[in-house]
This record gives sequence, C-alpha cells and structure tokens, in this order.
Amino acid sequence: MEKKIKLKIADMKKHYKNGDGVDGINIDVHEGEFVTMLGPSGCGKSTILRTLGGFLSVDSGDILIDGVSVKSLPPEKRPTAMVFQSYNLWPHMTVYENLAFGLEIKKIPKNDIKAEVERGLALVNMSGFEKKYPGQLSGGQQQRVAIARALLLKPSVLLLDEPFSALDAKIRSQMREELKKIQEELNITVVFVTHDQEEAMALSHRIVVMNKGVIEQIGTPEEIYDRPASQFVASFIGEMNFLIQNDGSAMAVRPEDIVITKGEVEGQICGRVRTAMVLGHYVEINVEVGNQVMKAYVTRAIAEEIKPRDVVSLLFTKTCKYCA
Amino acid sequence: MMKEKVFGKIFPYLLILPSLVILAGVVFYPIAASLLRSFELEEGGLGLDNYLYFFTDKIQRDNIIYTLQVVMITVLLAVGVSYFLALYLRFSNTWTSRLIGRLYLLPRFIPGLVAVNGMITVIRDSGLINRISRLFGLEIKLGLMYNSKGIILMNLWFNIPFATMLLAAALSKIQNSSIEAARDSGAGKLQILRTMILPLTYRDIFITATFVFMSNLGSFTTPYLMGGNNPQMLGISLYSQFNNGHYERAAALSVIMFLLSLLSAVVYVYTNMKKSEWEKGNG
Amino acid sequence: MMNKIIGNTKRTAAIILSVSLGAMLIGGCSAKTTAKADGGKKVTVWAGGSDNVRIQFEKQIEQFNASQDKYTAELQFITSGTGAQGLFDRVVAAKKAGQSDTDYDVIELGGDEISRYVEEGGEDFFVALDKSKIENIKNLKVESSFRNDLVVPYRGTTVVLAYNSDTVPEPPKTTEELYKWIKDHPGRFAYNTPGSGGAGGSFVTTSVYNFMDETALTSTDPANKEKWNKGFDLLKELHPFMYKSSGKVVYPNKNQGTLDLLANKEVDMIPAWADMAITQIKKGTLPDSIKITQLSPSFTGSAVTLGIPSIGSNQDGAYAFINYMISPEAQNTALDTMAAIPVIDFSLLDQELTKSIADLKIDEFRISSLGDLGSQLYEQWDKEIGTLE
Repeated sequence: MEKKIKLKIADMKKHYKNGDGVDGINIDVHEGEFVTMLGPSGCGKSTILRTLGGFLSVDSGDILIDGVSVKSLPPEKRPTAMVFQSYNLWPHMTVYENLAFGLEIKKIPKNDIKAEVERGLALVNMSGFEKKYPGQLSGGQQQRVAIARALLLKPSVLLLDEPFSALDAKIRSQMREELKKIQEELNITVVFVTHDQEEAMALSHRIVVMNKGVIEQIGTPEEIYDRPASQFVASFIGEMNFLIQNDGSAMAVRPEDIVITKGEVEGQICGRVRTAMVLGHYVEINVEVGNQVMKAYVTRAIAEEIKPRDVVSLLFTKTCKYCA
Repeated sequence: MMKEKVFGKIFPYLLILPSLVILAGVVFYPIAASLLRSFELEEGGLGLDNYLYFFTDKIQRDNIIYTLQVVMITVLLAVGVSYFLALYLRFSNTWTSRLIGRLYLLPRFIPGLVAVNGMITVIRDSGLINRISRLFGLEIKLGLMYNSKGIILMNLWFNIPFATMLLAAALSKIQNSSIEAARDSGAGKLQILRTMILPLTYRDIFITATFVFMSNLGSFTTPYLMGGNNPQMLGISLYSQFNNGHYERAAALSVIMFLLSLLSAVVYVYTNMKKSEWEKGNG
Repeated sequence: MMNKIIGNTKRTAAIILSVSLGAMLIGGCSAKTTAKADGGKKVTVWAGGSDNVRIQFEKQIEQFNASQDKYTAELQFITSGTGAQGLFDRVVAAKKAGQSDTDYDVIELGGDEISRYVEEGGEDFFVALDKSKIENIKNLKVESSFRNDLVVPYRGTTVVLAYNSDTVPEPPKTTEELYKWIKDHPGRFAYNTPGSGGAGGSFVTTSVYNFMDETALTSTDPANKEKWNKGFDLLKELHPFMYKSSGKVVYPNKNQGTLDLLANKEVDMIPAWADMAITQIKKGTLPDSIKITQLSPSFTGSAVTLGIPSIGSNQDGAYAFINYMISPEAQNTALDTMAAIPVIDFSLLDQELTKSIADLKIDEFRISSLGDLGSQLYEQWDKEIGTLE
C-alpha cells in the first residue's frame, strides 16, 4: 500500500534580494516519516523549513499539507509547529505557562490544559519542572520543553531547525535518541534540518542533501551513503577517497571498502604507508599512492602487521565513478 | 612592596576622586545650601512658611497641579508614541522604517532654543501653517501657542527621539525566535504584543517614563516661550520667584521640584532593582 | 616585572590625577586670575545682554585701548538666554566666597539691579566712587536714579510705542488716546508680562503711576502701594481687549515676545524698548512699516550703569574705563551701534547721530526707580492681571 503524502513541496522557488535562495524544490514527505534536510550552511535548507512554517513567503510553486495549499497562510494559521535552534522559550513565562500558551489560544478548557501539559512534560522526561523559568534550566532541558511545547500544538508536520546544534556533544546524542523514540511512539511527521551528517543518518527515514540552493539527492540513509548521486554528496556524507583517473573523472571509494595487503600484489594499486592511527576498535591507515593519500579503515588484527613506510597493495571492494 | 599594595587599594578611589570633588561642589553643596535657605523666612527666623506658601496659595497650587498634568500627559504621549515607533523600527524591514531608523534621533541634535523658535514659527496663529492655509483661502489658526497644548507638542519633539532610543534598545533584546514561536503557537499580533513584547519590556517602559518625567518637570525654555500666563509651569514660577527677590521661596520651590523628581527616581531605582522571578536565572 | 607594572600604573595615576586636578583648578578659578601679572594694565569689563550690547562694548573697548596705553580693557560677555542671572550669581558668589583680587574690575548693571547687588552682596559690594577720578562726569546729564554714589550711568534706554504704520496711520499721542485705541481695536494690542521684560514692565508701571505724583516714580516708599488701585483697575479694564490666542488673552513672555507678534502682524501696537525696535528695524527683522513714537506722558526708561566691585583688582584702570565710557566718543558709539540714549550733554555729540533718536523725545525721558516696590508691583500684576480669564 502506498503511504499517504502528508507534506508536498511542489516546484518551490524562493530567492532573497541578494540572489541567494532555493530553486526547483520538489519533496514529498509521507505520513509518519522523518525527513532530514542536510547540507552545509548557506545551502538553503533552513530557507525551505522557514517557508514550511510560514515565516518566509515563496516566490513560486506550492506547499501542500494534507492536500491543502498552505503557502498563503501566516504561521499562526498553519498546521505546523517549529522548534528553533535557540531562544525557543519565552523567558518571562514558567515552563507550565510556556506549554499552556498555545493551548489557551485554542480556548481549550483549563483542566484539559493541565492534563495536556503534564503529559507533554512526561513525554520529554521533564515532569516536575512546571514552575521553573527557562533561565533556570540547562540548554538541553530548554530544548526538551520546546519540543514538548511544539508537540502539544498537535501539528500535522513538526519542523525542527537545528534544534541540538547549540548543545554539547554528549547531550546532543542523548537528545537525538529521545527525539527518535518520541517520533516513533507518536508516529508524527517530522522535517528536520541539520548540517551534521551523523545526526541526519541516525535520525532519518530519508535524507534530502542540499547544496547551493538545489537538491543534490533524496534517499534513505543507506542509499545516500552507498550510492551518492554526485561527487558533492559523496564527499559530504561520511569519509570518501577520491582517486583522479587519467580521463579526469574521479573514482570514489570509502575507507572501509579498501582491503590492504602487505607487499605488492599483481593488478592492485600499490602505495607506501604514511601513518597508522588507532581510533578505538579500528585503525585508520593513510597510504601514499603517487601524489595522493588514500585513507583506509582496517581491523586492529590486520593493522598489527603494517608499519609506516611499508609497501602495501590496495583492493577496492566497492567504487563509484563521477565524471569530471 | 607593602607600600605598592596599599597604593593598589587606594588607586581606584583616587581615580574617582576628581569626579567626587566636582560632584560635591556642583551638586551636593548647592542642594544643601538651597535646603538650608528654604527654611529661612524672609522676615527672619526659621520655619516651613516657604513650603506652605506653595501649597496654600491658590495660584502656586494651581501651578503645581498644572505642571504635573502637563508632565504626565507628556509622559503618556511620549512613551506611547515612542513605543509604537520603536515597535515599527524593530519589526518592520521596509526602506521607510530604515530611513526613519536613521533619522529619528535628528531632533536631539537641534539646539533647544532653535527648535522651540522653529516650532513657534510654524504653529503660531500667524505662522507657516496659517500662511499656507491662506494660500488656499482658509484661515487655519491652530491655537497651540500660549497654552499647554503647545508645550506638550514641543515636549514630544524633545522626548520622542530619546524615549524611542531607549525603547528600541529594549525591543532589540527580544529574540526573533521568541516572536516566531509565539506566532507558531497561533498568537495574533495583538496577542504577541500583550503576552510577549509588553511583559518583556515593561520595565524599560517604566524607566523611560521616569526619565521623561524628570526631564520635563523643571523645563523652562519651552513653557517660557510657548506657555500662557496662568497657570504656569514650575520652572517659570521658580524663575519669577527668583527675579522678584524671593530667594527663600525659590529655594523651597527648588526643593519641592527636587522631591517630585526624587519620587520618579524612586520608581526608577525600584523598577531597576526589582528583578522579576524569571530574570534571576540559575542560582 | 610586577614592580614595573605597578610603577607604570603609579605614573599613569599621577598623570591622570594631576591633569584632572589641574583642569578643576582652571575650571573652578578662572575668575580669580589676577591682573597683577601684567603690571596692573589689564581691566576686565563684565557685561551681559543681547548681541547689540556686545557689539557696542567691543567697539568702545577697541577705541579705549587705542586712545591710551596705560590700560588694556578686555570684555567678558554673558549672552542673555545663557542667563544674565549668570553675571549676578557669579560676582555675588565670588564676593560671598571671600575672594579678592578677582578680575571683576568693572561690571555693567541695570539701574534697578543695584539694590539686588547690595542686598545680596553687602553694602561694601561696590567701591564708593571717588568722583574726582572721573573727569567726564561734569558732562553727565542723567543722574543714576539710585545709589549714584556707587554706580555711574553710561547709557539710557526708554520704552516707546511701536506700531504698524500700514494699519495705524495715526498713532495715539497721549495715554488717553492709547487706551481708547486699545478698546476700539480688540486683540490688536499686546504687552509682555512685566516680570519678563522692561517693555511690559514700563507699560504696567506707567499705567499705575500716571495716576500718582510724578515723584512717586522715583520713590521706594512702601506707602505708595496704597495708591496702586486705580492703575490696576485700568489694567483690568484693558485686559479683555488685549491680544488673544485661541480665545484667551495672552501676555507673551520677554520683550521679544511682543516684538514677534508685531513682526508677524498678529498685533498692531506694542510697548517696546527703543533700542531693540530701532536695531531690529535697521536689521530688517521688523518690517519697514513698523514705526516708533513716544506718548505723553511718556513711557519710562532706565539708565544702564557701570560699577566697580570691591573684589576687583584694578581700580585705577576701572576708573579710567568708566571715564572713557561717558566721553563723547564712547557715547556716539553707543548711540550709533544700539540707538542708546546718551547720558551727556547732546551738544557734545555727533548731530547726525542724535537725529536718529529724535522720535524718542529725550526731553521727556522718564526714569522709574522703585527698588523693591518694582518687583512687588510686578508680583501683584502676576496675581491680579496674569490670572484673569
């Protein structure tokens, strides 16, 4: 059965006065799907998210949610809820007031609001913080409350604009995991923006890789990682070696797809070991091939035998080729 | 080494010493001197008569009430207009708002006397507006001169730029995402103003109001050139007490004006000290 | 290393301190700079008021310095608006602070101001004048109305009736005609509040004192207050016919306030200082159609005087300067630059110049000097007339 399309972005274009912007954006997001827009800063991913939330108007094309065009609706009328990078919470309101705010506007009875707020806080493990002010919470706690607040609005699509980028690494991965859990529990449709490819891989059903205002590739994390559609995607996602061929094209191979054998082997590429670095359960080996350096990941057992300045042969188990 | 340590301790006080000495000479001493003089009676001896005069004499009492009225109306209008102007500058991103943002401080750079005389030339019953109206066969007389309307208009000219500057600074501290999150939650413009922007800036509004209050309470040039004969603002009243040689009464009136200013200074200090629960932060 | 830093801080601190203390000393004591340094040559003259007064003094001082080489006069001028109050306050404060040997060698003061100076600064505020040191005093025609033992008048000013000759072809000649004209032309006459300027002050004073003996005008006898009623009744009677703005009678502040109304044709007639009116007509700030005339009995004027504060440092130079100021040359300059009424015998003056003030009817030059009564009169006006609806 074909899944229902929750959010449709059709041939959308948005240009700023300075010429930056996005062009030809077509994305379908299915119900219950977690889609991440990934790309370097300035690639246009936040622009798309802000047009979804209604904070930016579009120049042309359309945005449909549940089959209805929302492109001319202001944010307060859209069935979306957004979590921002920072300063999400209203500093002069308690956690309770922050969560109740949107519900009060919807004229929900007081008792129901109370129950909803409690439920929302429980969902993000923040029960008992009702009376605190945002200034009294840590960054991670604030973002949890922000997520609960967005969820209480019961949005058709939840939008998150780099919500964890201001947090430190440990909290970030913890928050990531919790978000994933909540998303699966509630089966909510999410559009997530990040420049962190690891975060994108960990969270998403599908990833939209963007560069310079256009979509480079849409696919599952596996598709994106295994079959990058362009050299940009290949270099942006994960580690990738590029071997420039004689015809000017590039052969791309991931470090884990390289098998290293000591000595020269007929038909394989030869090189000399530059460095070998232990990175925990695996070892990174850098090999000089001509005037290029190839990076390979090998197990520690194999690495035991390889020392710097050794001559080795490289076998590529999987490659991609990109035209110049 | 010991000596240097002592010096290091004294050093900061030495730095503020010059300003303290100046302050003592030009602020504390005159205040103390006026205070003492205000209790001296013209016919000799000490007493409160100079103060009682301003509260029992009908003309003087009217002057005090009139001054407070003019100042309060000025405060309300100046802060109100400035708040909306500051909101416009903060949240509108059109070329007109940018232009106004660059120009609104301009009146501050025009010397007071020049501005007052310029305003008079425009609004007096035979002024620019009247002359233009006559070109169209009309006879518009604004009737703004020699009464409180003209004074208030002039006060607005002086105070709106200053109040706008303070309020714009306060509004710039509100994060865009705070406002966007509120819109996202379904709040309309008025709701955002009422529930977000006003509570986040109410203290700055009070501070601005006290500044406007204090700077207008003792104003002289504007009421002198634009005000009527009765009632008069306290600045003019003080001037005539002084001119008529009632130095003791003038001193008492200065003290009264000082106390009125102090009242708003108390409001200022109080609002500044009193941090709301949410501003206390962690620990 | 540490010592070095502290050493540097020390030096910096010393520099900052000495600079700021130095600035304070300079700022606080500018009036104290003694004239002794140049061998008693410098005479500092203090005056205040509007710009034409400054121009007059600058010219006279230039001529004084060129006429002899014993003294060099220097002007310290306090422009009005920044406060003529300023000079009074400064000199009195210096006296009270027990300063001596200051550079307040000569100060200019209005005829009526002397009582305030003596009241606040003490009887010994001014040097009792040794008339033998002022040779030109023999030509003096105008007595200083008050304390001529302490001050010497050097120019006179009088209030006149200024009117728009386009709308008033035949101006009133007597006070009776004036009062009739006012009532016949409601809203076309204005006088400024007496406390804010002498033009309105003179109108009020003459309105009141014309009902009394001529000698009362130069008397400080408080008993005269009893006779003010008639005058105040007249002012009350005239009140409804004064200039109105948005339906309410208004008395503008300052001499210039009524001159502005006249210039803008909001009124046709005002009492004004002759020197102000004449210089403004000359400059074009008042239109050509504005003319001046004197009534009979005339408005009052006053003499502006010079005095030698006892805290000055160059009394001989001060005498010399005062003597010069009542010389024909200085009097011609005052007449030319600010239409001032000369205080010496007219026959000694440039006849071309005296023509320009022929309208003023100097022979009727009246001086009022009521001392403290003057401010009481104005105060009563504030209470009784200023508060009328």
